[in-house]
Formats: sequence, C-alpha cells, structure tokens
Amino acid sequence: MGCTALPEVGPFVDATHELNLALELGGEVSVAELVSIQAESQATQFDQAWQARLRAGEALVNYAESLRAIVASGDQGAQSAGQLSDSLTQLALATGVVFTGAPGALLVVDQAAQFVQEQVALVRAAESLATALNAAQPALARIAQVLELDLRQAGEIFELASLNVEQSLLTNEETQVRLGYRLALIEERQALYAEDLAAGERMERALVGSQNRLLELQALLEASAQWYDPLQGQLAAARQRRRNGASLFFAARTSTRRWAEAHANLVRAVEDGPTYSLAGLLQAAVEVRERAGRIRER
Amino acid sequence: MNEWDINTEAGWSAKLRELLEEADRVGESLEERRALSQRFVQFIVHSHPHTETIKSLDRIADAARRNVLLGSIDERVAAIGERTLALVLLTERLEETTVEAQAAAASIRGEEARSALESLTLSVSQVKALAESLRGGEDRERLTRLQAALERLIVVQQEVEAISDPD
Repeated sequence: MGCTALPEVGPFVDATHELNLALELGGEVSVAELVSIQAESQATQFDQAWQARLRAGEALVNYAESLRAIVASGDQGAQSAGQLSDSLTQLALATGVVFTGAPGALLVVDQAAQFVQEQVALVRAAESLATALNAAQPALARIAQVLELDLRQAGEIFELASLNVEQSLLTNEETQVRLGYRLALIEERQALYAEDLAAGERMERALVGSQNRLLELQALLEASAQWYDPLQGQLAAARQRRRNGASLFFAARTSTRRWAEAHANLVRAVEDGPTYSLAGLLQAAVEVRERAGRIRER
Repeated sequence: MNEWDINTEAGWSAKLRELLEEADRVGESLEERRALSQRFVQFIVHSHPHTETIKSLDRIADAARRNVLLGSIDERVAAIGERTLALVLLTERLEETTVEAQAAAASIRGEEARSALESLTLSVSQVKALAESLRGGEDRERLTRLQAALERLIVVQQEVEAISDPD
C-alpha cells in the first residue's frame, strides 16, 4: 500500500555481528599465542589495548541494531496501522447497524488514515535512517580503517609468536644435538654411496665393508625416527596453526573492508534512492483528498 | 660452497657476528624480520661440531632470534596501543549517533502508538455517543450490537497496547 521503501539493513547488521566476532576471536588467539611463547608482558599490553577494539565492536553492533530498530519502527508503523484498520473494520462490521449512516465512509476514512499513518512512519523512519547513516559514516569509515590496520598487526603478532613456537622446536639444545647426530649419519651414508659409485667392481672387498656400515647407518637412522617423526609432526602442526591464523586474520580484514563498503552503500542507497521525505506524504495527501472527495459524493 | 659451509669455531663466531650486524640494520617489515629469524635458525641448525663454544654461539643466536621476533611483536603491540585513544574517541562519537538513532526509532514507535490511541479514543467516543442516543429506547437489537462493538473495542485496545509496548 505504501510508496516509500526503506533499504534492507539486515545483511549489514549480520555483517556487523560477524565483524564483532572476528574482533573477539582475533584478540583471543593473539593473546593465547603470546602466552604460549611466555611473552606475558606483551600479552597483557595487547589485551589491554584490544579491549578498546572489543568496545568498538560492541558499539558497532549497537549502532547496526539501532538502524534495524529504525527500519523496524517504520515497518511496525505500517503494521500497527494495518492491525488497527483491521480491528476498526471488524468493529464496523460487528456494529453495522450502528454505522448504517455511512459504513462505507468509515472504511474509506479508515483506509486513508491507515495509508497516511503508514507513510508518516516510513518517511520518519527513512529520514531517521538517513540522518543516522550520514552522521555515522565519517566515524565509521575511520573506525573501519583503524580496525583493519589493527587486525593486520594482530595477525602479524600472531604469526611472529607462532613462528617463534615453530623455530623453538628446532633451536632447543636437545633437538640440536639429535639433529646434528642424524645429519652426521646422513652425510656419512651419502659419502659411502659416493665412494661405492667411484670404486665400482675394482674394490669388492671395500664394498663389502661399506655395505655393512651402510646397514648400520640405516638401522641408526630408522631408530632416530622415534624422535624425528614426532618432531616433524610438531613442526607440521605449528605450520598449520600459523596458516590457520593467517587465514583467520585475512578473513577478518576482508570482512572489515566489506562491512565498511556495505555501510557506504547504505548511505548511497539512501542518498540516491527514491525521495523519502515528501513524495510519500504528498501522495498520501492526494489519496486522502481523493477519498475524502468520494465520501462527499455519496 | 654455501654460506653455512664453515668448519672452525672462529668461522662460526664470525658468521654469528655478521648475523648480529644484520639484526642491527634490519627493517621493520614482517618479511625482513621473518627472514632474519630464519637465518639465525639456519645458523643454529648448521653450526657444528657441538663443542661448548659452538653451543654458546647457538645460545646467543637463539636469543637474538627470539629478540628479533619479540621486538617485532613489541613494535606492533605499541602501534596498536597508539591508535587506542583515537579509536575510543571514534567509538564515543558512534555511540552518540547510536543513542540518537535509538531515540528516533523509539519516537517513531511512540508516535505510532499515540496515533493508534487517538483513533481508539475516537472510536470509543463514537460508541459512547451512540449509547447515549439509545438510552431509554426500545431498540434491543441496536443495544446488542453496541455491546458487541464495545467488546471489539476492548480487543482493539489490547492490540494497541501491544503495539505501544511490544516488549
């Protein structure tokens, strides 16, 4: 019935909730990674600074929900007008004899009133929405820039801490001794292979000796798998964690950028869309006049 | 011959000195820091034999590696901290807009409720006026219908109350 339309803000509100979640997760994993490398001081500092990001995330959610409330108030206005009209119509039908003088007139007046009521609600909602969107846009665009940079650097913090975990697996003294020993075995085996190739069939006796050593080396290398394979597993897990972190922060940054674009699009939709302020009301006025005219003609 | 093909403690010591000098000159980018930390790891992995001197060099290299990473973390934590005040101010500005938007939504809802209540009041007045005109009359059928009208009005009133206070 109405001629005014409000832009769809639901996807933006949903995206804001997602952004807020990304901020919560980003902060959580970064602190956990810092704690895991015994960087408690950095973890505390980061956590304190990140609280402001969480507050910003909460404010963004409240803002987005306020946009939804405005749109809902416009829709609710139309809905309440409709409900009231239905009830009044039923009232008129139930009391037909009461309003026998002009039952049709009551309905027409009622419908016109409903239309005006709808339009007033929608226009007010559209104007309030435009006001809120325009008022928020500069701060919101800047917040998005800050949060994107924050998420980039939080991602780097996560990566650096995660890299430290991975590197520490290799650089601790016990592992170094073991890796050195294993490397020596491998180098000796390679040297024996090279000697065997060079000697060929001319040094069969020597080859027998080298074959025995090669078997020994093989057995020692196989025994080293007891600690070498778990180490490789830990390294693979650390690399995977680092990749997962990179994906999380990349997604969070992308989400922030798209969210800011979505808000800018809403602002444009309100600015470039149909005129909300007067067209609906004018049409409503015309309709009221026409309906009033019809009542007079009866 | 690769850069790790070193066979003397003096050679490893010189190599570590070279890496430490690189650490002094390293840029701020994540890539440079990551690459430098990996070079310290390579130093530790390749250095040999595991004499006390080499182990000591490894410990220095490992501390330098960790410092490169923690220093990079410190810089980023500080950078995030430096933007906090600006973010707090921006958040406050947004919160003001939110309060205004919430008030606007509430106002629109309130206006709807007022409008509905005005209509309801009008309907009640009409029914009351009619009841007044029928007082003392013989038209039982009209009185019955009027009773039905009042019952409907109660329903309308309940609906309007629900609209006025959806929570």
